[in-house]
Amino acid sequence: MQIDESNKNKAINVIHFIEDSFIVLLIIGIVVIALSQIVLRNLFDDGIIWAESLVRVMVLWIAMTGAMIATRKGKHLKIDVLSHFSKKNDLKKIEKINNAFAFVVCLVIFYNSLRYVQTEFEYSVSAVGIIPSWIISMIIPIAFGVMSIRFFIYTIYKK
Amino acid sequence: MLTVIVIIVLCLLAITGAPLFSVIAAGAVYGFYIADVNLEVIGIEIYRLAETPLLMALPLFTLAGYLLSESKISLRLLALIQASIGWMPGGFIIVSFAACAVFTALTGAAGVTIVALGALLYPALKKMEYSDKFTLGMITTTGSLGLLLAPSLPLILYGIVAQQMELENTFTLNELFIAGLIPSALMVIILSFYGVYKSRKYSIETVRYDSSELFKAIRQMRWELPLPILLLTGIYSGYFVISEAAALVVCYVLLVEVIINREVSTKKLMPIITESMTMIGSILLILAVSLALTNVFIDAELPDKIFEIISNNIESKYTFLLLLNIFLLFIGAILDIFSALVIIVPLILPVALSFGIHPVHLGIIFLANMQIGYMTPPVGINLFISSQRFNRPISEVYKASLPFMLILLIVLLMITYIPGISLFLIN
Repeated sequence: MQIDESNKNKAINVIHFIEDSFIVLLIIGIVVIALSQIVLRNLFDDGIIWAESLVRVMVLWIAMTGAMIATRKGKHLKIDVLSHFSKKNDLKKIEKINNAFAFVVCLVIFYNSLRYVQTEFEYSVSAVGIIPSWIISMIIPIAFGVMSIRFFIYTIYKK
Repeated sequence: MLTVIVIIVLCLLAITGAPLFSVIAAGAVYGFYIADVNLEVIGIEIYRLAETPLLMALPLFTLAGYLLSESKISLRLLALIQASIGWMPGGFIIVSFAACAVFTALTGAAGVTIVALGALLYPALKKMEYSDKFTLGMITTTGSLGLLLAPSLPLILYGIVAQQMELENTFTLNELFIAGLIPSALMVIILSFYGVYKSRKYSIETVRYDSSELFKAIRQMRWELPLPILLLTGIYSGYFVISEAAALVVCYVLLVEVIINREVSTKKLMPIITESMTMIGSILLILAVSLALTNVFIDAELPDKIFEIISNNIESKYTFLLLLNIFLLFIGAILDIFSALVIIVPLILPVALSFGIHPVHLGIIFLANMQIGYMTPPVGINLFISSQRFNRPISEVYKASLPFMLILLIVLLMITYIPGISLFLIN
């Protein structure tokens, strides 16, 4: 049992590390691309054609990855009025209801964005250079899938 | 009938602290559902994040802001204020207001000013024997001063949201940045007048002017001083595109704080980047689902209906503006500025335009209201930050910040009713 527990924690840590590294790589990538565009344009009067669209896609990916991490860290924006004026125990019950609600919403978006990705796949449109758009939009169902799992866990287990 | 119930339930969930994105997304999904739209559209809506130009400036400026607030820049800034103008009675107050405004703008107005700079100003002001009440009120006020100065994130976000709406009367981000200059200056100047007037009552000890101290302070800031100058002249002159400026700023700040000053260790870099990107991720998520909700609203012709109701009851533009101020102050007190921007702006912008209000002017009014909303009792977030950071009962913070709030309200009325304050420089 103990080994299971520590393995589970290890696996979770690996997932967290992947998320964190991914978002760090994305923002560094944006900085590098933006700077090389400035240099290319000013010194060589040139530029990478798909750089602009790649950067925009990376912003979408940052948004989705950031949203996953925010779920894990409880950092989603919310109206924080109640916590200043009500009791801790009542607050926890309300929080459970809110998490259950967020779980359902994420699940609905997960399912429908997956269908959207499927449609994109069937029409196989390319978005950035030769990268097909279904690969790029795949991040949306992934993010909402992960978020729904996390909200589910919060609803059931969080004390 | 069902719609009314859904709206009530969603509002309840929002007020009790459900993640705002889930409430907004649920509203959008429900709207698409009753309009018989294929729900796949929600994927398309979120994908629009990848089709919005300018958006990349947000994560970049956020990162730069987080890096700056992690360094010891606030300490050096304080030393520079003291050395340069500490000799003048009340001078410290004036420069503090100005420095806080610039600091808030540079750090993206994410609420770090009170914690980072205010925490240093507080003991300095107390040492100079300003009263407790004055000090507390002043620091609480500075927390959101500078919201209207480039490159504050809310200012950029307003530009992005407005441009998404494909208005007839468009404007550029640069125009918005320029429009924010005079209103910001006005707030700093009038607050400073009050501060200096107040400080005549106290026997404030001034520091003797010492040019070697001043040179020392400047030397310590030599790497950071060019930053606002470069950035502001770059942006305001239109030499840089905003996204390029953002990338350059990140690079420059990384270079200065990590390699030259070595105040941000490479070890801390990854947590700082993750934290800042998580924060911007949660904002962009709300932006994405709000874009979807806005489309639901537009399909349901909600802005038209709101305009009809308002124009049936209100004839003058000025009454509309006054009611708008009251509404926005209330919104600003309960909603964070980013959520307020992406939810409320698409609804009121068309209405305001039909009353003949310039979109840039509306943006300045909107943000000025949000700024005051931050410190509006009983739930403005700055009040809580101050109360927590300086360990004071919240009621004391209410009382202390009230005079400052009243001053800002006067400035707000000026900004609202004299459009020239905002529009003079861009016309």
